[in-house]
Amino acid sequence: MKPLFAVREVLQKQGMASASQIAAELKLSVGLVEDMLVYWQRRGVVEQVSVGTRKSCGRSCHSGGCGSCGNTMAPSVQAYRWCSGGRQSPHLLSQ
Amino acid sequence: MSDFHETPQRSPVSARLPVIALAGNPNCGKTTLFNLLTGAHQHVGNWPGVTVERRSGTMTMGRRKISVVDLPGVYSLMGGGGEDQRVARDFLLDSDIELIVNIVDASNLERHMALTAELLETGRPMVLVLNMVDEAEAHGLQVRSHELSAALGVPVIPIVARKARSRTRLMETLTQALDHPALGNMLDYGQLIEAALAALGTLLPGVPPAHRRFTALCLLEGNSDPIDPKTQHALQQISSELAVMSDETPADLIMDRRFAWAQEMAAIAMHRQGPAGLRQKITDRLDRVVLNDWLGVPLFLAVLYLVFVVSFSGGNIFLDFFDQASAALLIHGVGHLLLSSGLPTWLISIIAGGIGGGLNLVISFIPPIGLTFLFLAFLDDSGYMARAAYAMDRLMRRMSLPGNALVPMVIGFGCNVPAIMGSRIIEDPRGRILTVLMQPFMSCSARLTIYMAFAVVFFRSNGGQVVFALYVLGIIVALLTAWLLGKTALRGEVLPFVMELPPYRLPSFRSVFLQAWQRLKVFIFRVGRVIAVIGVVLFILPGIGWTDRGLRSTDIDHSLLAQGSRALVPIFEPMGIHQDNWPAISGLIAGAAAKEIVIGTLNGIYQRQNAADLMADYRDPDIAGQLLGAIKTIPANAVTFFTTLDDPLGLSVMDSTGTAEQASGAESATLQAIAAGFTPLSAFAYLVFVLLYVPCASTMGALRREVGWGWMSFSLLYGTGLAWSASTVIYQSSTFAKHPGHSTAWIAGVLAAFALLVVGLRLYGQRRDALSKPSLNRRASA
Amino acid sequence: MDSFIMNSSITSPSESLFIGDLHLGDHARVLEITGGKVMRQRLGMLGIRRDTPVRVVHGPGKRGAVLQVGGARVALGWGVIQRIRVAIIPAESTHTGEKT
Repeated sequence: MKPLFAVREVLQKQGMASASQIAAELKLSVGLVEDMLVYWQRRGVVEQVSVGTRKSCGRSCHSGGCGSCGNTMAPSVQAYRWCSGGRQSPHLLSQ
Repeated sequence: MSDFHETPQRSPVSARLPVIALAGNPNCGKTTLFNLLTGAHQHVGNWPGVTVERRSGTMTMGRRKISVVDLPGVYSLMGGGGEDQRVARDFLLDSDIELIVNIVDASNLERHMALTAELLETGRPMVLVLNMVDEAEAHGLQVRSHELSAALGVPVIPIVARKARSRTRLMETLTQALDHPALGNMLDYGQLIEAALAALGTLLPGVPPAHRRFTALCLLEGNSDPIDPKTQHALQQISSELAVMSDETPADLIMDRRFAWAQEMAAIAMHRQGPAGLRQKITDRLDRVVLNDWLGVPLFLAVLYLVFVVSFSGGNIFLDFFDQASAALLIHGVGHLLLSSGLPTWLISIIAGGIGGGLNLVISFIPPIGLTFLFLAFLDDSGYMARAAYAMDRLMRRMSLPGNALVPMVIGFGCNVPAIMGSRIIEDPRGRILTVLMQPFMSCSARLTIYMAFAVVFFRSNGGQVVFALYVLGIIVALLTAWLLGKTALRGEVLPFVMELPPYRLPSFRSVFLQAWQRLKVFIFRVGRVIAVIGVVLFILPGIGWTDRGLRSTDIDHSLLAQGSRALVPIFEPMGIHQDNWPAISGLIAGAAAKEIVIGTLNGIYQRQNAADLMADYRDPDIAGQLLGAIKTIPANAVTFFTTLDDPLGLSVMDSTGTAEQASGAESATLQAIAAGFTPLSAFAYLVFVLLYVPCASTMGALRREVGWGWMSFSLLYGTGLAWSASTVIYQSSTFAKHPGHSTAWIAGVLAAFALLVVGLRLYGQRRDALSKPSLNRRASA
Repeated sequence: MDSFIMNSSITSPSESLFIGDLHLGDHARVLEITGGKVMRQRLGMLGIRRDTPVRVVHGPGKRGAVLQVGGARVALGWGVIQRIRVAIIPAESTHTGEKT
């Protein structure tokens, strides 16, 4: 099995999903899926969105450290979205 | 475990300590493990050039000293992380490390194994520590460390870092791993990537062979830049070749393989047993009772009471057997053997009477102490102790102590040494020092023997209350000590209570038994050694004395022991010990080495004073008869146990001299001599002194190891001073009417000395605060 | 896709709620841990981090509270529970709660 690519496929197919949904579909642990999503996120092809917040594509701070989303996180859910055509170069991994 | 690859032995270039690096994800219990390994021997600073905290320390394995470095917690060594990651990666790659200890959270294995994959790539010997195994088991997972070890090619050890017993097993594994380093099986990235790695590896001339694969991986993943144009060119060529053969980037392929590997390894290591639902329900129900606002504290006290009942009364069932059987074999049997082999009598009395008699005393304490250890291990494994600590937290906080300081205190009733070692569970250094300094005041089981002997003689009808009062006095002094130090020398906030409540479980007999046996073994060997040595000394000292003609053999009243003890009598005069009762002081001197031998010492001296024929017993001993008699005591004592369940210290036996004599290890002649030397009041003062002064040499050793020479010396002086002051105040205030002027002077002197101590501690505290503030400010501005 | 985000509920900043303000049995999500790096590290070690869902299984009272965090239970003293800012998760969405 190729878990990393499987996660990518699920997300590509569904457009947007939460880590636990992907984990359930692929029968993987949520933690592992989250780590793989973080990897794809670093690669720039996936982005994290909080349902219920106003983060915009490509400019999210991911951590809430900027403070712009800290107060509105309340009952929100972290979901991931496929941004096709993202930056593909692996050399951007190290940021 | 499996066929590990062995690395060539390093030549001993210098006296540099071997280095163990602890690596793991941020939340894997790495710091707990670090504390467990290094104890107080740690140093916190910064990694050069960055603000990342660098924690290092030393630990001792057997005779070896080893340096332990706690790396920052990271999820990955590869790109994307901050300074933490760079520090960890640089240290792992560039420093001389003998062993990487990778700590992973067993309940979250897939996630943590990703880092393990990278650590294996560094090409350094490794040990994998599966932490929080109990949590994984609570989730219904069975941990299969042997299978994982075979798959990884490195030793795997499951532990629960919170528990001190894990330390021993971990140490064994680390010792082995240092002697036979295992590099482990690196993961296979598939034909394509492996070929690329091999090709790249040959083009890295400046890189040592051991690091080539890792460097090649970094290049291929795009995590580091090529050092020279030649490598740059080769990398581009290999990348473009790969692109033709696969749609995916090399980085993605590598990462995918790592995630898949982590998942495979987790599947090997974890076997799902069954639903965790029922456990959850049981935990819910039990917690509702155990953590209840009103029931929590009384329940804990009830549990403590139960431990005492079963340990002391239950221990009494076998105490006589152990005592009489070991006396028959070690004293009379050995004595008889030596006598028939024609050795001189003085040597026989040293071996049989001194060493054998001393060992006999220790052995008779095995049942109560063993049972105490057994029950404490049971409570610890059952998951209750952590809850008790939470229940008591608010009360302990008033004494400026964290709630979990309670756990060592309970252990202290058995023996102060494991109690001091057990204080390591307290994270904040201030709380830890306070807790350690409290332990010497807990009435350990060795002190109980002295209480018993005296209670029999002087406090017949209310012996129970007296012994109980001594226990309570110990607890009060311990708490007040913590309170006093917390307000003066060791001021500071108690860290808020944060503690994981482990899942409830029915402890396995094996685990509880082994844990208790480990502690008991340490106890027996430690005490046995001391007693053997002191037994000899105490048989020589009373036999020789300083006379006009130099050092000669004399009777005991003119011996070195008598001369030395008599010289010390004036110091103890204010607490009611008079010149002719010098053996009491010999007992105290011996007691500074080990409390178990105080009564034994008195025994020896009083018996010699009576000048009985020591050899008479050895000439014609009825060993078989004595052994039979010993066995017969078991059923008899069992009956007593069930009829006196309400009397945990077995104090009602004081009504019958015979039983109590045996319980205290003293013989009638000794008890009579004690009765002659003390008044009830001076006896009580003496017992208070015994409770509070230096607990024993081993406890002092443990103190030094845990809090250093400074605090150990403080504890020694403070405890002895306090013991003397308390006994003096008790004696003088009770005999006030007889000599008011004298008593007033003594009491005023003690109070003044105490006031001086408080002022001194305050000054020390202020200086300490002043010293730590600038560094805090510096840290804040950094 | 942007419209999806914009149309979904735009929540008002919730008032400051700490674990001490919760009730027995409440589910909540950790928003923030005030009280310094050391405290964050200690709690992080026990799995209490930003975004962690927790459930109150004992207290909160003067003694503190016991939280269910994943498979583990963590006892926290009074001093700590007033430093963990949380948001209550309504009962019907405690499982995953997402609507996609």
